[in-house]
Amino acid sequence: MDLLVILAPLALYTKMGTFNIFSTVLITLFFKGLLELSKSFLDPFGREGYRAHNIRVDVLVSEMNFGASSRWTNAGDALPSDLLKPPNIGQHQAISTDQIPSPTMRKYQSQEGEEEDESDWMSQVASGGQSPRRDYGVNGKSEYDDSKPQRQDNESDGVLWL
Amino acid sequence: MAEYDPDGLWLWTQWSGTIREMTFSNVIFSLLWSIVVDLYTYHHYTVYLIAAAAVNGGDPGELIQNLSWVSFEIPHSTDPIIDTLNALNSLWEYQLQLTVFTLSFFVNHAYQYWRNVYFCTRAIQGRLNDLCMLVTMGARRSAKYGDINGTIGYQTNLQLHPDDNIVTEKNDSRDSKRLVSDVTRLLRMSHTFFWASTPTHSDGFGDVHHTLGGIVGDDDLELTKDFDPSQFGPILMSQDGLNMLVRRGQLTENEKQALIATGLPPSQYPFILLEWAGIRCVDAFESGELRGGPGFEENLFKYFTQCRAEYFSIGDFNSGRMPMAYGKHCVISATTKSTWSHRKLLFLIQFNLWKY
Repeated sequence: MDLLVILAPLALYTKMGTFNIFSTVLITLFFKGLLELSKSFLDPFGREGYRAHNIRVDVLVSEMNFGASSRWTNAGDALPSDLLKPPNIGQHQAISTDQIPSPTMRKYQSQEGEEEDESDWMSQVASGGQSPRRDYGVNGKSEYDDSKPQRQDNESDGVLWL
Repeated sequence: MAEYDPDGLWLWTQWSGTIREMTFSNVIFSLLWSIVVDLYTYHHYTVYLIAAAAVNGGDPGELIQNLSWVSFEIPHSTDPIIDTLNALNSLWEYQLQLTVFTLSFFVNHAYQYWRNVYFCTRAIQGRLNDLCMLVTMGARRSAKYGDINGTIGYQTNLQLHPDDNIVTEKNDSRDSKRLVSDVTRLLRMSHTFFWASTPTHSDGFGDVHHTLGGIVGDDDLELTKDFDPSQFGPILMSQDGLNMLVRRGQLTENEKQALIATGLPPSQYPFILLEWAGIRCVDAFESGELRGGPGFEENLFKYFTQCRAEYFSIGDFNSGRMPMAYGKHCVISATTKSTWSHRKLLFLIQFNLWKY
């Protein structure tokens, strides 16, 4: 590459005369530019002095820190409750074609055994009050155990949830 | 990677990071070298004209007075140097073809290498994000622990008494909230340690203390001002750096002691933390802090191993960054263009000088 550039004014003189000055400048810009560009590509972290196309590690770390400490954890810690729980009709404005809870709802309500507590809690939530924080897991009665009925979309016949 | 405007005028006005900035000194050198060649050739031409006039009975004085600074007839004259330069032109054109071929290959391969490294760094981020998302999705939940009314949060064994706002620990070893906190923190520190242990320009090699305009050594980071900026990465994993991280709540004292107790060099800390995060997840599956079936479990640990692989890929890229192309570049570029061309050039010059 260096030889090509060095020989350029000598070689081009016989065809271009004085214009070989401009030709050599352009050849240097194009060929040496591509060579330097390639070298900068081969040094993506700037350890050898090529800073033009560095991958900024501090940006990667800060992005990852935000994602790990805030994005997923905060989103997972503030899941709207009606995404997982079958909402109470009336409180959640469910539209029922026959005003009768679906089999899933009936099964849930019959096995819940804590329907009143849920209603009380949801009423407080709806009214903006402080929800009592209780640990169902202590007594082996966590709300979302596998033993509890889960809402199945294909079972919610006749009920459209808003 | 910096964003750019594809507008042509905008691109023309850019300087930093362009080939014009990279080749500025080379272009100036070529410009001066071309002027020197032109001046020498012009000098040679005038001497040839004067000598020819003297031999043929002409008037050299009148000839010299009529000379201009630029003579377009030089390349078409019978000056012997033109024949020599013509021979050089043949060689140069041959060399030009080889250079175009070699350089095209070199640029393409170098850019491919850069893309591979870039996407590997993004893949590391992606796998860690996958892990964080899966852990937060699989963590056991309880409607009673949402920080906001009407939301469901992670299940925890901490109990808040609304009356006096006192938090107490309940008699339950399961704590999904702590699981999420632990795993995401370990993954975050694994990622930070990985880049701290990987020599890069932006992890402190070119950074200076914030009092000198740099970005490291801020008082909030609790680092002393007399540290060596070029060693910022290793310092983060030194005893002082680990102590700072403990004070900042990014590592526990027990974790710091365990890292040192492994007896492994600090460059291995990222992998230790990654493994600890995986073990924490295994334990969470057993205790019930993480929900999900075999498919979920398989995918979670698949991302752990993929993350490990991506970590190692960075080192692989650095150590074997153009083996085949480098060899080919050496053979074609160095041997053909330099050694062979030098010999042929010397032969042609001697041949032309002998002729005249």
